[in-house]
Amino acid sequence: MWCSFTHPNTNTNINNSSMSMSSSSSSSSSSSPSSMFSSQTTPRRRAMEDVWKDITLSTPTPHPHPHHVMMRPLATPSTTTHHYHHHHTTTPRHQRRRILQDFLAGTLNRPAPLAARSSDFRNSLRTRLPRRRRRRLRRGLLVVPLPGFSAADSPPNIFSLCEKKRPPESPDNGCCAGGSGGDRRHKRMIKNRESAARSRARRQAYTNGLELEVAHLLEENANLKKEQQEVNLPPS
Amino acid sequence: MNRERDTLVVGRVIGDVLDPFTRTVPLSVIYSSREVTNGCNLKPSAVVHQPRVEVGGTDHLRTFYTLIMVDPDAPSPSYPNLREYLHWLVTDIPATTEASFGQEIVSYKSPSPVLGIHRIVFVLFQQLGHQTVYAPGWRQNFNTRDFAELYNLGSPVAAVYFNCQRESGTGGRRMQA
Repeated sequence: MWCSFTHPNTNTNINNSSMSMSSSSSSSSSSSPSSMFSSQTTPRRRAMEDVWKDITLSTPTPHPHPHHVMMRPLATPSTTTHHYHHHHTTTPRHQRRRILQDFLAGTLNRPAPLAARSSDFRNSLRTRLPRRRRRRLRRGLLVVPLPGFSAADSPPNIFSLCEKKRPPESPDNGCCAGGSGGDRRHKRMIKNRESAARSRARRQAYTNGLELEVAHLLEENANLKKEQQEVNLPPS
Repeated sequence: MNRERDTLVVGRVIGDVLDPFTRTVPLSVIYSSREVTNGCNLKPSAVVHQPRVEVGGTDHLRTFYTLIMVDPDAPSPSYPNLREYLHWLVTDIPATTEASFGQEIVSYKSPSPVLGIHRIVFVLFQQLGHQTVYAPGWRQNFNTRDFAELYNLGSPVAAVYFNCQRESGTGGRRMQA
């Protein structure tokens, strides 16, 4: 009568949107601009393309080919196109997904000049490669269906939800060991405190239960003894 | 009973799963002749099969109860993003009888925690009458409060919980002397 399964919609939607994001960005630097736009037909891609358009429209940068900026939002100078593309093809898909979501989440929150953003982007690309182990854990976090999460949410909501789900990490940190290490320690400390509080609560609940049972048993014992006395020595 | 020392409050069952309520109906949950007392520890091997759940009450012809069994610490107490995981749901239990007399909406799934020490909570609600309850589509992220509101079950009439950790667990202690 009943079957067990996780919510089907959320997982596939997140995966689909991420894959579509990765594929569109990897094709951006190699294919012609018109084909990139014509291949994007799903609503998710269109929303992303709108976001990128907004970024480029709102932040005028000194660039020799302004129409290239429109068509290839991820690459400003031509040399970094190849650099980015090289990184892009070698990083695993889940790393790409994270980087893009970071980019978009960061952009949605605080629009910054495009030149500054792309340099952060390049730094984050380079320094995120070694951190593969932690990435897998975060990806697991990303695809867990959140309570109240519905597939009908508009794309910006998905990004903000994904951002919330991941532990906060400032995109300005290039390869900071001290800053994020301190954060990690801090978080670990908080979690440890919570665990200790739960342990204390558990121990206290157990002793509570025992005390209650002792009181209950003592009362029962007293009652039974009284009954026994009454049976043995009935009042005259 | 002193609210602050109530085991359900101390164990944070009232808070995480339920709102404060008054016990009005006796509830006994018995796994293989071992009765569950609040906060006791049970291993997964002891709770493989569904327990005998004896329900008190007075009028077995007209009073019916709903029993819910959830794990609010799924998958791990420090990161319970699947709170609450529904293990068992039985409705239309007549008063003074057992859960086996009721209608099993969601079949019993034995707790098998992997991470941490989980609380497994049994909650008993009094129904207004016979009612049709629809099984949720999945077990995780069940919400007892919302469920009670949806089916007009009101406040719980009884609750009991136990702690459960994986079979080879150290009882929360990492370094053993």
